[in-house]
Amino acid sequence: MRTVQKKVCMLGDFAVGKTSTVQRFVEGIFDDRYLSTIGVKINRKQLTVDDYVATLLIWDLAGGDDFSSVTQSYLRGASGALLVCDVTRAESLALVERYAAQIRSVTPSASLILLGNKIDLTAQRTVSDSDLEAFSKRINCGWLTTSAKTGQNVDQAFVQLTLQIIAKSHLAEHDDPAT
Amino acid sequence: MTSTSSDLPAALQEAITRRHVHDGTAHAIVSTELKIIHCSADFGRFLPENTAQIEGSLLTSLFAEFIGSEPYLRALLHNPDEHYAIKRVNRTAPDDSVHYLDLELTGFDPQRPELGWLFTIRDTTEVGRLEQSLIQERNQLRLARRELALVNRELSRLDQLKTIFLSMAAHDIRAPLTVIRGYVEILTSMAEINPVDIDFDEFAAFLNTIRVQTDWLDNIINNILGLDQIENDQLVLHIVPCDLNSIIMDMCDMMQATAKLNQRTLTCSPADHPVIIPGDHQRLQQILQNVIGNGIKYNQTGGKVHISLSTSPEFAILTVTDNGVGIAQDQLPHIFELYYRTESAQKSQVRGTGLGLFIVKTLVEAHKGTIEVKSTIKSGTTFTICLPLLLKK
Repeated sequence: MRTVQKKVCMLGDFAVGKTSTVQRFVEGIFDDRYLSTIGVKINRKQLTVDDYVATLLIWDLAGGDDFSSVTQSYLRGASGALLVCDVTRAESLALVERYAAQIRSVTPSASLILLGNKIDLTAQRTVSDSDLEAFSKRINCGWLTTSAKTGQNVDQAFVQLTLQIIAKSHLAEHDDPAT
Repeated sequence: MTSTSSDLPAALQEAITRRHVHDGTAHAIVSTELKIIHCSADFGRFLPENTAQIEGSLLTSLFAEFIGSEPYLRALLHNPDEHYAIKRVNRTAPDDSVHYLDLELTGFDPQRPELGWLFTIRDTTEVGRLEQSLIQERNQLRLARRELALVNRELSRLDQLKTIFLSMAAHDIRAPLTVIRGYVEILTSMAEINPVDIDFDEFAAFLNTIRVQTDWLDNIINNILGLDQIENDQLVLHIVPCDLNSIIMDMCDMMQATAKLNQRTLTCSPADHPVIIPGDHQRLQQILQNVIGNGIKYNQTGGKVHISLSTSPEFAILTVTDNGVGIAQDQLPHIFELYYRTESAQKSQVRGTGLGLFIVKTLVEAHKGTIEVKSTIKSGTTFTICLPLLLKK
């Protein structure tokens, strides 16, 4: 088994469920109350994928439309990010494009996955699977629908992101034998 | 090159090591290897209680916030204009309260990068909590504003539909009135000009047309009044034991004239026994009038409408089947919505307000019943209404 430690970021508009997604993944719980995150909260979680024991340092960042240099500095050294939108708020999907551009300007090789969260709110859903599919093609990443409330696809999202990060590291090693 | 304590002026080391925090800040000297060489006396209060060793530890092992940023930090040592800061780092205390820290690394001297960094921790809990509560309120306001915009949009849509409905209803009321007035004038002139030679068959046919148009008018007005009661939560049912069998036979007779006028065939297969349900007689008639009326309206010349009544151990099962234009599958889920009219209904010349099926569903449910619809385009539609029997078998 090889061990790796990777920094991943949670990015997206406010109240899309970034903190709840992390809480579901790390602690296996869900809290219905909305508490805005300011600054950054870092969580660790170890998971085993393929032949790797990966420790993820998950940077849960404040959401919203602040794309300042302060936010940019938080993204340094990130190997990947989950770009989260709320499937009941179409405008939260539009903001994802700016987050994708921001992290790619800091770390161009970062692995990204788009999450359409709150999939449990079926009746209020305004962002369809085909919207997510089309959007993920535009920003060149994979996508999943998730529910931090029920836990649907949450582990899957982090596992897939880790697999992508590891695969990219592999490629980098093969491209540059010195690393 | 690695910094050591001896590289730094003794006075600075002394100042940092002995410094006691009174202003919520703590400092440490960090080597180029990212190890903490010296720290101020109460530096440890920003670390977990079980932290055994501070001096000599890697900065990244005590502050995970710096993991991944090492290359950037090294570059920083040569740049006099830059420092590395992470603001509002969240720390959850054992009592679940959130504290905020600002972390900052600054190179001691860009000319002498081997001296390493000065690491400053600032406790910003007070201002962080204030900031958090302001952002929380701002975000909640944004969410509320968005909700309000959605509700406003829906209200505008309903208002627009209501305007359309009023104009349709006015048109629908005027149309039978015009017909009634026309026939009354014909009948009056017939009586005035030649009362002796009146063709009584023709006379009866004209009167029948007037009756049909009056029934139609009555239905529109009942629906409007029904909607008003539903919207104002004033729908009251006068529940008494009703024989649904006799109601459907009466309604079938009553609507024969409408069917004939529209060149449709209306047939009825009642049950062979009374079917007693707890219901409001007038409302049950309203249900039937709307459903049968739709079967007649959305049909073609020579079309058929059939009503049947059967029972299960618990329910009276009423079906109204027509071989009319049918409803597209994607529109079926919406047909019971207020003011909804199918695309084909809108394109057709058939008059309608989009009230009937909404009222039917509301009334059926008020009778603790259910209504289902199956339809195939160009083949017809079947409505199945189940209403609880007064006495279960």
